[in-house]
Amino acid sequence: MQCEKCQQNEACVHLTDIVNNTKREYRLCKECAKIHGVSIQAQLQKFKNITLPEFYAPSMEMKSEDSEEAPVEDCPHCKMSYSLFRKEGKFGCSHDYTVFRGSLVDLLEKIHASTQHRGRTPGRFREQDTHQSKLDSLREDLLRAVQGEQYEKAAAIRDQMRLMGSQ
Amino acid sequence: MSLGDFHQPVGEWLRGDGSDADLVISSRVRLARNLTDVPFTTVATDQQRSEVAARIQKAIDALRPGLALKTQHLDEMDRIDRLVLVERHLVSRELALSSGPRVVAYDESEAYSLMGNEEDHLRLQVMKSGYCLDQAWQEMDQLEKAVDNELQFAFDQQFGYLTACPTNAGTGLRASVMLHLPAMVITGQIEEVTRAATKIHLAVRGLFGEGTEAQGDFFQISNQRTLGLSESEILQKIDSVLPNILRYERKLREELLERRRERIEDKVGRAFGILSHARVITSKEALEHLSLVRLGVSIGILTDLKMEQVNRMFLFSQPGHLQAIGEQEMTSEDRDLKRAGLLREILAE
Repeated sequence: MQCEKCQQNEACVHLTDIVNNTKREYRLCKECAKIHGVSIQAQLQKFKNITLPEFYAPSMEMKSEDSEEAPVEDCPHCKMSYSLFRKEGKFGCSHDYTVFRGSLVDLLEKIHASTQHRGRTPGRFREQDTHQSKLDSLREDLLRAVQGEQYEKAAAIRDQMRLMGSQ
Repeated sequence: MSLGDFHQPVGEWLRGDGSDADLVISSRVRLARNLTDVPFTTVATDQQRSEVAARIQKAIDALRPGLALKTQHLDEMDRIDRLVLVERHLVSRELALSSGPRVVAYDESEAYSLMGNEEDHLRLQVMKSGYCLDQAWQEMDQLEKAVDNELQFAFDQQFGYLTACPTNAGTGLRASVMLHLPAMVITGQIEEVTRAATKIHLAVRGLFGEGTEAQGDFFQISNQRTLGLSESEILQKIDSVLPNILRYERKLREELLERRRERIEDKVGRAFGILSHARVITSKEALEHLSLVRLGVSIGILTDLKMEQVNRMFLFSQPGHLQAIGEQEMTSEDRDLKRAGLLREILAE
């Protein structure tokens, strides 16, 4: 997108200006942004010392109005309340994730743009994972065998899956 | 803490070798882990924290003979020694400055570090010289698996590894590279790096990570998101932006040499002159001149100096190391005097 001021360079700054409750948006190149007193470094500097709870403060206020969504129960293990967690930005124990699960989904989505872990798992889960991934792979083989009308092969795969405890 | 001889190379990550070591000082991967049955460090009692430290020590002992780590109890160390550990990037500033039972274990090469009772019960770190995040991760992979055999880490199928701060949940992985980008700073292009990095959710910070300002043309780039991406995807994110940054810095260096060679040689020469002859020098001034001298070494203006020497000057001119060498607490004025002397000595090697 071209810069709205000079109409020459590529726009790299998205500036939102609110004057007397009137919102105007500009897309500017770096040079024009500088002329208009916008420095990326200065903008970053503004946020440098803001803590996580402060960063999410506006959404906290919105949450507090909507009391149904905020968990009312404290963690029975560490006694952490959800409001204290939002104030401090730190959990008290690993059980907080389970107790506050419903509300955490929104928060984690904001921080990570995701709410589902992908990546390694502790060793004690790995055996379980291997078992599951073998079953998944057999299920795919079974589907392929049925689609290819290889019914004997499909029956053998089905038996193998039953042996592994699949319904 | 014994500093040994400051004329001798220290720390694997300060060797100044490895891929692109003229621009990438070090590559670091860090994992955050917590035990299942103990409250997080922030709310744990001293007794619970001692218990955590003891369990971590047991896991560390089980790493032998493959990996021998030396454990130090930070609550039993004086302030200067803790500062030295921070400056060597073996512990975080938070761990050094907090209170209560807390430990650090590291190997002789200072490539591996395990921090106990940081914000999370356990933080594992692997740090290497140059641009080698993959190598660092491979070593971390082995290390974490070995420790995982001994300790039961808090984990949730949806949220991954559970951490004290939600910004670390999921993989618990923070991967970072420490960069030296003087040509980008000289030519005013550094905002381009910040822009490119933040666009793909990477953070650009100062030398000591979170909350620190970039000083002396040194920057740290790390991943912001830890949940929803696998470990290799996180590393790939940094890998996707770094070669361009390095290529750009090199191109700017070439252009600077082509167009303004005399000016650059003059800047580097003056910096070298000040470091070689100053009798009193502040930390900020030393860092600025060391940055130019580092540039001079990497573009062949200063041919008699080694990168490892520059990195060592950089490390030993910091407050903790100066006071540790002086074996006493020093005022800022005393440190400026000591710093100048030490820099002269290393440059005279």
